[in-house]
Amino acid sequence: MENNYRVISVQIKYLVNLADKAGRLSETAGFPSGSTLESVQKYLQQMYDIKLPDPGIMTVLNGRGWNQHPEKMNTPLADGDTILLFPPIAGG
Amino acid sequence: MATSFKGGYFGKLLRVNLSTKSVSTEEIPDVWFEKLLGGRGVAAKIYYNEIGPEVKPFDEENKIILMAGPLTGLPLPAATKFQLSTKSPETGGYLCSNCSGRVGTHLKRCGFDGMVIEGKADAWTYLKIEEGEVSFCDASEMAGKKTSEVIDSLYDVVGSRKAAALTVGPSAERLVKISYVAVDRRALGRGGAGAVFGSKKLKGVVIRGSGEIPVADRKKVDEIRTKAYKILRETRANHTKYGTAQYIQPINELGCMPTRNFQTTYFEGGDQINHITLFEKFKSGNSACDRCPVACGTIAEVKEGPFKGARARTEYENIGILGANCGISDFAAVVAANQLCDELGLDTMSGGNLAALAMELFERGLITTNDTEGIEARFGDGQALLDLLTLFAERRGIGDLFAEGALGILEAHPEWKPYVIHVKGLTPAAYDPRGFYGNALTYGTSVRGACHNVGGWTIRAELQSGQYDRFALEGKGPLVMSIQDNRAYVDSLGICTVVRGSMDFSADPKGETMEAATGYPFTSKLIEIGSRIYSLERMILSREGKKRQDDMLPPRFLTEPVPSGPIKGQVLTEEMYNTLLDEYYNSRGWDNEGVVQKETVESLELTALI
Repeated sequence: MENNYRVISVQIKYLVNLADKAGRLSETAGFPSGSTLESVQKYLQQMYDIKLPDPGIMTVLNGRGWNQHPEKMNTPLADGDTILLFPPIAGG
Repeated sequence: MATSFKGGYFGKLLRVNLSTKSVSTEEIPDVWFEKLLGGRGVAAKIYYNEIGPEVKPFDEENKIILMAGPLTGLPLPAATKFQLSTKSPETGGYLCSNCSGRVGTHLKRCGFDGMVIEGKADAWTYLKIEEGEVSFCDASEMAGKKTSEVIDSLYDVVGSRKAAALTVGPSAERLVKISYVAVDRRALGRGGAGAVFGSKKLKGVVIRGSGEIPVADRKKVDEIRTKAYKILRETRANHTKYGTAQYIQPINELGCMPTRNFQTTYFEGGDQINHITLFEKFKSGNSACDRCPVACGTIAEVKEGPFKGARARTEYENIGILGANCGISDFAAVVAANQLCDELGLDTMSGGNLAALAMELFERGLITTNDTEGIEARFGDGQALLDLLTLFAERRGIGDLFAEGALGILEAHPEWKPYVIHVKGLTPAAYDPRGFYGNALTYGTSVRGACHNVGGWTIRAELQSGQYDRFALEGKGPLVMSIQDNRAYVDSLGICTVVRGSMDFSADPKGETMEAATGYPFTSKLIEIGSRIYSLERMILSREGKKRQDDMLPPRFLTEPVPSGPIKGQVLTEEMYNTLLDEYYNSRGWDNEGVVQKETVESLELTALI
């Protein structure tokens, strides 16, 4: 019987104070195929008590804000995706 | 009483003439405050009235306008901002520049909302303004000295380290057009206002006043302050810990970091110049504006190595430009370059950007060690950066040309156009506009050149609002206009943009701060006032000959795809940029050359002001 289960690798980068919360600068996390951003949301809450969405956390999937993707938290993940988490920025 | 406002204003302007050594005062009409608030808005009105298009930056007829806002000096967090407006030596046109420090506060404690400095002294002079009395003082012993020494000397003159002091460095004395004005320990950085001081042989100004600033409802203001402090302590911890250096990491990861003279948008050495490096190896303390619990000023000190002893207040923009844009990953060198600019009198941003230009020209073989007095001006070389900055400040070698700023360089070498990165003569801030298309419009339509503050900083909205894709064109015109108007009113209030949210000064202003301060129902009018100010400033630009072509971005941003990093391959074409510009002009009610249309003048109630 063919095994269709596949793991998607997603790189999550914790910037500025999010690194303090997660206790790391980045990690590669594995999610089952078919996972969405919501899976990352649950993972972050479970592992680090980081709750998304949060206006105090900018969440960027592959260079675009999470809510800029048409399916928002239901956006499917793909192998090699990058997620950035950082506090709101406001110009230097 | 020169004003009918119950607080925040005096309705009084101080006028000082350096040529005739004369002093006068005059009333500021209440209607200017009603329509333009104060600070940047009223300074623009004075500029409109008094500095015509025929006036050149170093002419005797150019003026230095300093204006406080209605909140400046009030017991509110970081209510310290004031405005300088003048004709810019760097761009040849209108300049507005906003700064903290104590200048605005002490002007108001002397009973003035602002002052205009005109004429030219015949020998190095500083102005002493004590309790409103003006003295013209010999500054010959201050000439040639570094800014920190002169600031301390000026404090000594009035016997108070809590007075307000402005000065310029040796570069300004040599009329280097990228010279800044040092204000206490802050800076009026952009546009070369320092060189206007130099042209007037004005080495400094020291102001000390002790009068009361009227407040309409002091009890309410105290309540607002208490609430704002609580909000700021809860929400601005990152600013206190890291300052604006915290933006290095996200901006680099987003592929927006100017690198090696804007050749690419990701700096591979970013981790060595980010907030972690600053905090763990260099941070020696914080500096705060008066009554600000955030204290976002981050002091970095070099403790070892060739730059040992260097000390500077580091900011995102300085690190991005002196670091990544010069290819430098040695944080100690960035701190040393920052301090060198501060002391010699150079704007860190224009200084860093022009050093990056020199490095690119050198690496392309377009300039050689014969031009640089032997400096191997290569990206990544910290000592070379310091040596180049010194050449600029002292007008030695190719520094004499670079001291003329981007426009002067292009006039002498039009063939260098592909490498000279500027809009209207001002080099950009530390964001590559190919990374966020709203930011492209920001640079193009900022009234003082490629500035992220005056032009409207869009990046957060383009990432977080959910309304605007960073690489989309549609909607960016109204977005940039909204942020510009927002900024224009905040710059006119006299408070810092970092704290404004704690008092509900947003794109949809709420709260009662203005009513408590002035007794006048300003809050619901603030955005309209911001829009009025921005169009008034644009009318000044039009009068100075600026048109659509002056709003265009340099060729690098419109012809070169990003060659590496997270947004590799991203392209912003001239056609795309023109689409952005069309939508923006249309939102503003300006015609397709960027001229404010008659109907817009009327709808913004500008008719009575011009």
